[in-house]
Amino acid sequence: MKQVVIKYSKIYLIFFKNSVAELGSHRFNLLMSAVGNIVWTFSQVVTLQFLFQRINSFDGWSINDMILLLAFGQIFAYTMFIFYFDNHVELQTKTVLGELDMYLTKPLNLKFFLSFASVSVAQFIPFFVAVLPLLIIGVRDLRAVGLLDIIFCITVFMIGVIAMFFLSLSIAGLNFFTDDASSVRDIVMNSMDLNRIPISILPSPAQFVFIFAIPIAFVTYYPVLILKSSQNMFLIILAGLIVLISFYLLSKIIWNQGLKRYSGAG
Amino acid sequence: MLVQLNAFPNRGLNLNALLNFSFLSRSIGIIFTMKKYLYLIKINFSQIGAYRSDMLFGWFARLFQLFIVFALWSITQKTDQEMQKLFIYFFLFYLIFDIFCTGRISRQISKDIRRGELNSYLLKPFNYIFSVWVKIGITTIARIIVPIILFIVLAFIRPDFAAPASLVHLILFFISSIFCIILWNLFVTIIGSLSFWVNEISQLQKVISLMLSVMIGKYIPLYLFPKQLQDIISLTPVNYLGNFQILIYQGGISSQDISKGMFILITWTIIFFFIAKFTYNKGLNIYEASGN
Amino acid sequence: MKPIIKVENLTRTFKQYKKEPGFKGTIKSMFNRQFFEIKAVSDVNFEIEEGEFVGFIGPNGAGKTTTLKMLSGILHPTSGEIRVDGFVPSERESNFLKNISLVMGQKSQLWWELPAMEGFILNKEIYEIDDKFFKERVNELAKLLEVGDILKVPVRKLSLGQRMKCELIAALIHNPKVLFLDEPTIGLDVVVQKKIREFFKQYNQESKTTILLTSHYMEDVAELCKRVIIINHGQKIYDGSLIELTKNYANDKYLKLVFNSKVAKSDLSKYGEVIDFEKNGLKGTISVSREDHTKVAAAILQNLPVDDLDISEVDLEDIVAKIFQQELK
Repeated sequence: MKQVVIKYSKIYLIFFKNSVAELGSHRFNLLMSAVGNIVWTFSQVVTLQFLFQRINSFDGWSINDMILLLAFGQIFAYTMFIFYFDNHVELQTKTVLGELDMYLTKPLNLKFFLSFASVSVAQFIPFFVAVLPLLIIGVRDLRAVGLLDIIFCITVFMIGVIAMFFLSLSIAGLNFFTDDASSVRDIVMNSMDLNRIPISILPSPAQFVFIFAIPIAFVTYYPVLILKSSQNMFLIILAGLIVLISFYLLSKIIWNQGLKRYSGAG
Repeated sequence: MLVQLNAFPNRGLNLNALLNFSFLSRSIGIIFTMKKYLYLIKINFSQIGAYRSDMLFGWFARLFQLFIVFALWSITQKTDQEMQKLFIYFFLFYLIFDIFCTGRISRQISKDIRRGELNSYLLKPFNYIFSVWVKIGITTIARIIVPIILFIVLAFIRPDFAAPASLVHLILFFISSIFCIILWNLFVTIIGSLSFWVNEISQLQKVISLMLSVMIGKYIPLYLFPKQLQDIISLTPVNYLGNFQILIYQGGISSQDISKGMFILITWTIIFFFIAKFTYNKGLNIYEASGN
Repeated sequence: MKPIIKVENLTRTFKQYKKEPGFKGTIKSMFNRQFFEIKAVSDVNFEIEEGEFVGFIGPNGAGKTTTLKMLSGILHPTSGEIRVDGFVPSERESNFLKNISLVMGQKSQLWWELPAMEGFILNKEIYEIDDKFFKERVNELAKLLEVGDILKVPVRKLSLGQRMKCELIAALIHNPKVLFLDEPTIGLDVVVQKKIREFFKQYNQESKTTILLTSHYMEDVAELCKRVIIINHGQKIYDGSLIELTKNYANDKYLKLVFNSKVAKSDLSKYGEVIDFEKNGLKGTISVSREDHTKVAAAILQNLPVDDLDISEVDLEDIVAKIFQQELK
C-alpha cells in the first residue's frame, strides 16, 4: 500500500513538472485564459450588483452571501480545470479515435493516467487573482463561524468535488458507447451556472436533480449554507456519501463495460 | 509547402471569369459554380446523422442555463407580465440565438490554419470560408430543430405571452434575426482569421465571447439597463445581436425605432463583411508567403 | 522449450453500421441503424517460443494489428484463448504489463513539447525501475541507436527517424520479455529503416527477447524473422519458417543478367519468364524453375553476351503476393 502511494505520488509529480515545462509553448493562450476567467468572474459580480440594486435580499441571501456562493462555485471550477477537466475532454476524442492503445499497455491505473496526465497549471493565475478576493468579500456577512463548522464545510465540499470527478469520469467513459457524448458534458457544465444562485429558490424536482443527479449542490450551496447557519451535519454528509459512492460505482461499471467494447482504431 | 495562388477567397468565381464573354455563358458559369456549392450543402447534410445526440440533447444543456438565469432575474420582476416578458427574452436568447451565434466557425478556421488543412482547400477552386459556413450551418440546423419546435408549441399554447406582437413584427423579427446571425458569424470569422498571425486563439476567442455575452444582454437583460446606457448601446453592434430582435418580437419598440435599428444593423453587417474579407485576404497573403 | 505465447481459436468481431447514400439514407440511419459484423480475426491458432522473432504478414485489414492488440491486452477477444507469459492479456495484470511492450509506428507515447528524456523518466516510475538500472539502460540503448545527443531536445523538433528511435528506447526501458512491433519502420527513409532493422536483430540476439513484428516492408520481415505467420481475411494461411515458405511457394529462382551488348527481349524469353527488362537491352531478369536453373544459366552464358550473372531467390514480396492471389482463386 505504502509503495503504491509512493509510486503514484512520484508519477503525479512528474505529470506536474512536465505540465510546468510545457507552459512556455502556450504563452499567449495562457495569458488569454487567465484574462478570460478574470473577466468572467468580474462580470458575475457586476451582475449581482446590478441585481441587488433592485432587491435587498435574494431569498434571505445578501449580496455578500451570493458572492461567497460564487466563490465556492469558482473554487470548485478551478479544482476541476486545474486537475482533470481538459484530460477528460481530451479523453473523449482519444476514445473515439482509438488512441488509448498506448495507455492500455502500461502497468498503471488507467483512469488515474488518463485523468491526471496533464495539469492545467496556468489556471492557478485566475484562481489567485479572481477567486480568492471573492472569498474574502464573501465572508463579510457571515455569523461567527466555529472551527467545527469550517471542518464540516470543507468535508462536504470535498465530498462534492470527488463526486463530481466521478461524474465527469463516467461521462468521459460514455464515449466507449457512442461517438458523441459531448452534449452530456455540456449539460453538466451549464449546470455549473448554478453557482450563482441558491438552489432553494428552484422547484423541488430541480433541487433533487442538483443534489443527486448533478451533485453541484455539495460544492456550492451546502458549504455556504453550513457557514451561514448551523445545519444537520449527519444528513448532509450521509447524502453526500451516498451520491459519492453511487457515482464511483457508476464510473466503475461504465469503464469496465466500455473497455470491453473498446475496439481501437486498427 | 508553397502554394502559389492568388489571394482572392472567391476562387469559386474564377470559373465565371473564364466564361465571361457572354451573358449566356456567364449564367451557365454561375449555375456551374452554384452546383458545386449545392453539392457541398448536400454532402454536409447527409452527415447530419452523426450529430444525433447533439440534436436530441444539445439544447437540453441550454435549458439549464435558461432556468438558472431566469430564476436569478425573476426575483426582481413584480408582475406576471414582466415575468413572462423576461422568460421569452431569455428563451429566445439561450435556445435560439445562442445556438446560431457560437464560436464554432472561428474554432474551425483556426484549426484548419494551424494544422495546415487549409492547404487542401486552397488547391481547389473553392471558397473556403463559404465551405466552413456551410459545414457549421448544417450542424446548427441539427441543433436548432428541437428548440424551434418547442418555441412554436409554446407560442400556440400560450399566445398571450409567447406569440409575436403581430405578423409584421414576426416577419421583421425573421429578417433582423438573419442579419444578426450573419453579423455574429462574420465577427467570429474575423477572430478565426487572426490565426494567420497568432498561432493559438482558442482562449482569445473565449475571452471575447465572454465579454460579448455580458454586453449583448445574455446575463443582464439590456432593457433593465439605465436609459442613457441603452441609448449608447443602441448605436453599437452588440445591441443587434439578440436584444433588438427580441424587442421587435415582443412589440416593445416603435416602428420608427425599428427602421432606424434595421438601418444600423444592415450597415454594421456590411462593414463587418468587408472587414472579414479584408482580414482573411491579408492573412492568406501571409500564409501563402510563409508556406505553412 | 515451453511456448511464451499461446493462442487458441482466437476470434474477434467488430460491429459496424451502414448508411445508404442520400437524404433518405441519412434519415433512415438516424432512427434505424443496420448493424453487421466483421470478423477481423477468425479462429487463429499459434504458439511462439521464448526468444523467437516472428513476422506477421498480411495485406491491409487482414487482422494483423487486431491480433497484436489482443496479444498486448488492448482488445478483448470475442472468443478463444490467449496466454502470454502465462497471463491472460485482457486482464491487464500489472506483472503482465511490466513484461511486455508495444511499439506502434504511427502512434507516439512521448510528450510532444518535452525532451524524450522526460518521457523515459515517466516510464521509469511507471515500470518501477531503479535508478542505476535506468541510467545504464538508457545509455546502452541510446548508444546502440546512436541518439545520445538528442535526448534533451523537445520531441517535436526531432526528425521522424530520431523520434522513432526515441520511441524504441521508451518502449524497451523496462527490458520487456515480449516485444510487439506494429509497423515500426513505416514512413522512415531507407537508411533509418536499415539502422533500425540492425538494431532489432542485435537486440533480439543479445537479450533473447521474444519479438512479434508486423510490417508492410517485406525487407523487414525477410531480414529479421526466421519464422513467418501469414494471415488474410482474419485467417491464418501459413505458419512456418521463411526458408520453407520460399521453397514451397517459390518454385522458381531469378537469374539477373547484365550484358555486354544489346540483347532482344525475345532472345531472353526463350529461357524463361521475363520479370524485368531494360529498354536499352543491357539488363534483364528472368524467372526459371528451381530444378534446372543451373542448366539454363549455363545455356545463357554460352549463347548470350553475358557480362554478369546473379542467381537469387524470389523476393518475399512476390511470394506473398502469389499466395494471396492463389487464395483469391
